[in-house]
Amino acid sequence: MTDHPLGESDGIDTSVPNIARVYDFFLGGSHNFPADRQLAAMIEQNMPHIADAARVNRAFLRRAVLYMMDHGIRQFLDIGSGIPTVGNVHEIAQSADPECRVVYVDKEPVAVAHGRILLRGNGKAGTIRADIRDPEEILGRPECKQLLDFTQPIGLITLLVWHFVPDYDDPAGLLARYRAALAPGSILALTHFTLDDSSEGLRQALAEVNNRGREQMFPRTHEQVSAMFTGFELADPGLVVSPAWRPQGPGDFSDSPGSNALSYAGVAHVPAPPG
Amino acid sequence: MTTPMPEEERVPATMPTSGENRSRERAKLARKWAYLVSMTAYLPLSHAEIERQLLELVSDLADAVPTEPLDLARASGVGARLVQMHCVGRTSLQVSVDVLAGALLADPELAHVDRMAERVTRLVGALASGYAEAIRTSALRQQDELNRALVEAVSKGDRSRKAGDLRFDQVLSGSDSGIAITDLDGRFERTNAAFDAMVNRSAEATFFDLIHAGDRLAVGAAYQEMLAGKAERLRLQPRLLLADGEVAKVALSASVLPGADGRPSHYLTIVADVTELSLLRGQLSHQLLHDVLTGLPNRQFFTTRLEQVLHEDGPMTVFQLDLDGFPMISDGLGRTVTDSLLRTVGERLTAVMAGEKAMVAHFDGARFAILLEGAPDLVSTVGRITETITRPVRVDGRDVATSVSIGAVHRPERRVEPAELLRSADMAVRQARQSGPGQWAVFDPSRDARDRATFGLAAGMPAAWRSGQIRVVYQPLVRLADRRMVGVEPLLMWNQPEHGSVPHDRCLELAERIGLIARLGSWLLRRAADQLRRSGRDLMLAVDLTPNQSADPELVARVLHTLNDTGLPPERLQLGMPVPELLTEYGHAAENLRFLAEAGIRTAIHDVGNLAADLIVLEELPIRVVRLSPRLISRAGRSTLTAKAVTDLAALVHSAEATLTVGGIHSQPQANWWHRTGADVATGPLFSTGPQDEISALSMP
Repeated sequence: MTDHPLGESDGIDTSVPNIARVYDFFLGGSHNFPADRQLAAMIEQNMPHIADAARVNRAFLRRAVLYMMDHGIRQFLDIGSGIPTVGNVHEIAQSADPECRVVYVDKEPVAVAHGRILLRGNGKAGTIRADIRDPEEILGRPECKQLLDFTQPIGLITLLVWHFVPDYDDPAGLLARYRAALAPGSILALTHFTLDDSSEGLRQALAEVNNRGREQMFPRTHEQVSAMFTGFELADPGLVVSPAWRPQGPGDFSDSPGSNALSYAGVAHVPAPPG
Repeated sequence: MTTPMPEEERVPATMPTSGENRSRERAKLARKWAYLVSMTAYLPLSHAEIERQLLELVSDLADAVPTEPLDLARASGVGARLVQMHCVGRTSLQVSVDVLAGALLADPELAHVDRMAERVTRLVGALASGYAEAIRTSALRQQDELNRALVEAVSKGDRSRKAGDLRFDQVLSGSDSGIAITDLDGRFERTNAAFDAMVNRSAEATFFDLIHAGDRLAVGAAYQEMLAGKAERLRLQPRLLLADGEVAKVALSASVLPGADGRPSHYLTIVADVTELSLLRGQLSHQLLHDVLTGLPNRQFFTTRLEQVLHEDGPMTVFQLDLDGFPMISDGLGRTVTDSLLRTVGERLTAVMAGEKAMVAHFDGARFAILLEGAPDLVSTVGRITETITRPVRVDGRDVATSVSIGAVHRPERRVEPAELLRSADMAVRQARQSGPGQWAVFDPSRDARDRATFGLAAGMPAAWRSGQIRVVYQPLVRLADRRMVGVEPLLMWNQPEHGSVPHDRCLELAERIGLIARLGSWLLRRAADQLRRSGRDLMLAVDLTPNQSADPELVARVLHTLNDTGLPPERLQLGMPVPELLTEYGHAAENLRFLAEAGIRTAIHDVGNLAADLIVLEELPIRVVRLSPRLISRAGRSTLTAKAVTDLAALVHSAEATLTVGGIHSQPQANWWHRTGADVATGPLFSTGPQDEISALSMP
């Protein structure tokens, strides 16, 4: 069992590396501490192209947000957003339409405090601290209700977050609960860590990361991730490795095949209820 | 007689490049840059927008090259813009420097600028320092935000200050910035470990006592203003008294913390880690001049050093080394193995050169270079290099073996440009490679007497060319069906005072060996095209290129410039390439040939008929003309077997819709025999009274 709802400062420990800050490091950011950089260096030894994989995932975020906007979406709920640094949802969406509204959700307290600092003065974006495993808690939070109109379609973004949720917590069931709260026409974007095409070395690296960090990671197969979209209508080209989802430029790919195959990406619509 | 001053050498800048051409070249460069840099970092922009912004930067930088005084500020602005665009991946700067410096150094429009290499290097240096400064500022800002987020997260969760004290230590111990909470007089309440390590904090001293006396008043005043609400946050760079007794300028940020009643009760001060940030800066300037992978000097550093040494007056040798079969190694064994292999090679080369005055550089991919000053024995140096490289490298539990092809330019001419010298070394590598992997080609005069003679002759060639000893003469090309003259072939003729006249083929061979061929060959083409157009005669100009000319990456550009300048239509030019060069997997010959054919030039192959594999070229490339190998021609009349082969070959050539040309025809029976066999065009003594200086002097005897 988990101990939510979370207190604002529970679980801050900068001497233990934090995945959100490690991810920031791979994207070229300086929002990280020595312990994060040490873990990053260790991961990189086993997976020399990991920074590429982070970049490729971030590039997918941009394409997914623009796809949602093309389909009329103007409000976004980004769960597991990490540190909302360069090229995040509100930057992409609000530069296309300043009226866009964004709520970021993360369970890591420093990332949340950080988000608040970065979003100061932006009345159309907010950050809350909560766990993806509590849909009703997230959807019921005042910040969420103030910024988002649940009678209108919403873009629900969950990138590289489900692999922190064990089968025990039933990711597909959680997604169904989110779906129930979303208006028809809402769109889900999801990426998921996978080792379907990876070597033994990577599996060992994962074991190492699982030992060192505080959180366990659960890579899933194509079949398992596909099942998470039950009840949604997958947009073309379906569930594919992230760079292959409607790529637009060389920055959407990595030149190492291994990095391209580290995550699956899918974008799916919430259908109108039958009848 | 007029002196045939080689135009290109004297005033290369007069080659007219239209503005249109220039913007096309810049767009091409921006495209390449965008492609490469967007693989190094996440740029939150559409690809078109990335290209557009980089094109602006390309223009900024290129326009800065000829400025006087050199506009370093503009280049430094380019560096800062890169950081703004978020080109902040570990190799973003390296990739940018490589692309930009490479393109600027090779830009024909900038070739005339005085000390161009030095200017480009300084501009790229300014770019990197602008980049370093921007990334430093950005890193500071981000670290500051992060620490602030940390303090906020703590104070939010714990309403009671006592509990907060304890958590403060725990939470902030992982930060490498010094963080201090003081009361409004500067007395310390909490500090983290990084802060305590940075300064000597005694019980009675306040924070303001740790500021250098010269800055103390100003810092105190700034804090007071912040307290009065004039600023929400301070960013200062005062001098701080460090624990080790040193004084250092630090990046400091401060804000006011409210107490339980909401009124200001404390200051939060964050001091960025001094040592790490100054390190960052040093690393960036190192990165500018060094290859990230091997830590060796890169091409820019090497070129600058080469330019310096060329201006001094001692003996020197430049080696270029290419690892053989490198694409195979990297495809087969992956990047990790390849990277360690390159690092090991770099280390071994450095070790071999340890006792010498030498610079070992890593250019890119499998390519290394050595600049060796002084006059150590060339053969034994090459031997030591080869020996050290061929020793297997143990990577990842397995032995990886490689060999190296080496090209050397020994005691080059002092007035040669670094770029030209490097091109000669490059050609030497290719020559070495033609004899197989693990070979070396070196233009060393002392190897043996024959070489010395050749070398002496070759060494005098540039001067001979400039003084007009080398001229262009013409011989006719004749259609065998009606014996009409259909074309001319320009030939080099060198009246060497000691050796007598040096014929065309020998001239080419010598020019090829000393790396003069690119300039000499394009001079030949330019003169001939110019003269043919002026003669007003409707003839084809037929020029056979050497292996190095054929593979020269700049061949197409040179040829198109020449046609453009002389006004000779492309369909009147026939360019031939040696068929072995088209069969090799190295170099650009085949690609060049396709481009030339697309431009409407008649493409030809020569030296055909030595190998059955020659037919592959005929089948796969757009070939209009086939010239038989002289060896085959001389045997054809004597050997029935050869005669049969030649007849079959002629039929094949015609079925590929190409025409067959034969050379060296002396007599009527010979001409008749070849006509019957299927040859279409011929050259040789039979058709002229010897090569002529003027095209107009050519006539059928």
